[in-house]
Amino acid sequence: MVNLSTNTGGLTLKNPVIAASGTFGYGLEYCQYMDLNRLGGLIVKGLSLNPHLGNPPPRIIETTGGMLNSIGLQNIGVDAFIKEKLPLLRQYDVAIIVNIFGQTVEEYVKVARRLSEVEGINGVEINISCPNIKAGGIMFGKDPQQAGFLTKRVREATPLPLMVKLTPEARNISEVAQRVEDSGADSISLVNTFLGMAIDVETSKPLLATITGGLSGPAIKPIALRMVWEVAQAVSIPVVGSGGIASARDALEFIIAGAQAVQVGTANFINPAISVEIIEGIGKYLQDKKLKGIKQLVGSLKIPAHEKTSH
Amino acid sequence: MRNIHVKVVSNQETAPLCFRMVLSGPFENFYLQPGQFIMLRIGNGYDPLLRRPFAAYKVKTLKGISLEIFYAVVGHGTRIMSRIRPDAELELLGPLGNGFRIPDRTTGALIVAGGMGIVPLRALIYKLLDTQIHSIHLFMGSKSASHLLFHKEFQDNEILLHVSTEDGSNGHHGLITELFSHFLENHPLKKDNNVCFTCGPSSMLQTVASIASRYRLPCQVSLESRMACGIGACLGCAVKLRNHSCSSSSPENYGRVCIDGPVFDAREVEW
Ligand SMILES: Cc1cc2nc3c(=O)[nH]c(=O)nc-3n(C[C@H](O)[C@H](O)[C@H](O)COP(=O)(O)O)c2cc1C
Ligand code: FES
Repeated sequence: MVNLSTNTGGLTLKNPVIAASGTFGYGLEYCQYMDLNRLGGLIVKGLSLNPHLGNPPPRIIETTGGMLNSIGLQNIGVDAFIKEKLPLLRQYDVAIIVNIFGQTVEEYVKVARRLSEVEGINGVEINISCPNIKAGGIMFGKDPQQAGFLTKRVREATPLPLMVKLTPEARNISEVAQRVEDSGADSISLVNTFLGMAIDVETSKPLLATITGGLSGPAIKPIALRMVWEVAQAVSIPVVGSGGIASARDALEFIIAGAQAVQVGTANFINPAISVEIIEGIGKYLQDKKLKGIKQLVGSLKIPAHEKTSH
Repeated sequence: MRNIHVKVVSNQETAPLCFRMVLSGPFENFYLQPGQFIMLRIGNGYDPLLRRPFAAYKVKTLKGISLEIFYAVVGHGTRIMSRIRPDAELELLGPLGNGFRIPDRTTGALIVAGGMGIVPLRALIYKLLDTQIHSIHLFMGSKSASHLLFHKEFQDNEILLHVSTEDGSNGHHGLITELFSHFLENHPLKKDNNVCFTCGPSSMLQTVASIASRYRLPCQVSLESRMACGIGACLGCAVKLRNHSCSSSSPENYGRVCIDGPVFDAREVEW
């Protein structure tokens, strides 16, 4: 048996596949279609202090190899999550990571503190990368200084393993990553969606009510992979890769580029049991390559000597 | 409710840009209520990427039970779908969502269908007939005579058919909502026992809902929306609903067409 377990900074996962926030509801939506116990972890929909209404429809549109969304972080609020969802979710043998956001630093801090008061949560992912809300979110993720400040404040508020989710919209994502590391994050996840848009040429109107939205899915994978590779070299805390992962081979690319674990998002919509297939595929690959565990693969990218110098 | 592997038996154009696809698969214990839907993966690659929602109908044939779906070629995904050949293997998720509810003591149904909206309503009509509800008025509207689906099938039945086409090539020349409104004006109903069911373009649904409310007729609308997951997880299929609960601070909220619907009580929807 190969060892699929991995560690993402204070959090041991039985395998490196995590369901990405916003694509997996509160986890329970999927329990009829797959065995939640198989997952390494799952990240619930972004939670705020109070319930959040979200954006007007239409909120999604498919584009070539991907989709745009402008959900706008609709959620039931942290208290309703703790009361209604967490007791059910805890019955599964899976790491539960809660994605949080706020409009102000204070709101992030309050949500993190609230989550630390209850049993059954294995980690917090700070979302500083949502492109779909006016205040908060991405505002913190584009600026290294603000990202660092927010991380520091949330760090002080919770002992839970802290993952910070970066946006590819930052001018220099490695710089943001380094600040976040210096401010006490346990791990870094990237990337969230890219800001995009689509137009109906018959009516000349945007296809999303909010005009722009976040692009996800296979279309973004090469860019996400490049960013994960860069950030993995820039920081020493674990990196969790995401962006367009839809198969075991996709996941393996991110791991070889330096990710300790991966998040699967949009692909859950294509096949609700895709994560299980990815986990099995990674296991088979390790076996075929006669590798004992994931750790031997993380960051194992082999760059031919002549290519190191000539870019 | 699970992901099942199915095979395409046939995929043919039955009206201009309207296709019928028949699927075979393990459908023995597949119970689909009228108004419920399935999410079908179109092919095995990433184009189209997302599954598409379709109303489906279970049919018994000599070869066993199969599933029948009708779709209009309206965009990229359905165009690719229209080229799928028999024997292709696809995946589908379902049955999904909440279908039409037939209240106890219903004695009559007023059904308003626009375009492809007739597909889930056809399943409902057969269920009504099965439950011995025979007073059925079907108001069916479409672009033209050639787009009227199941027209013959319904003519052979005991239901009362009212037809309109936008080009006047069959029945009333105009909108189906005009016929519906005109009918109600001239035929007083025993309002307690009649229920209105409707499916079609959103503007039509809104008009039907307001006419029904004028006559105090209970009305169930089947909504359509773009969907990504179909199982309540992505929140992509939001529809604005009226909020009845006084405890909530917000006067409205968003429901999910896929799991809170697709059939809603017309009064719940914030049009
Ligand atoms: C419909 C939808 C909703 C999302 N909601 C959230 C969210 O609440 N919080 C968050 O941090 N990321 C959210 N994301 C981003 C995903 O978690 C993921 O980072 C991104 O989609 C890229 O990965 P993918 O290409 O595998 O989907 C959402 C993505 C989609 C498609
Ligand atoms: S389609 Fe995902 S919630 Fe309805």
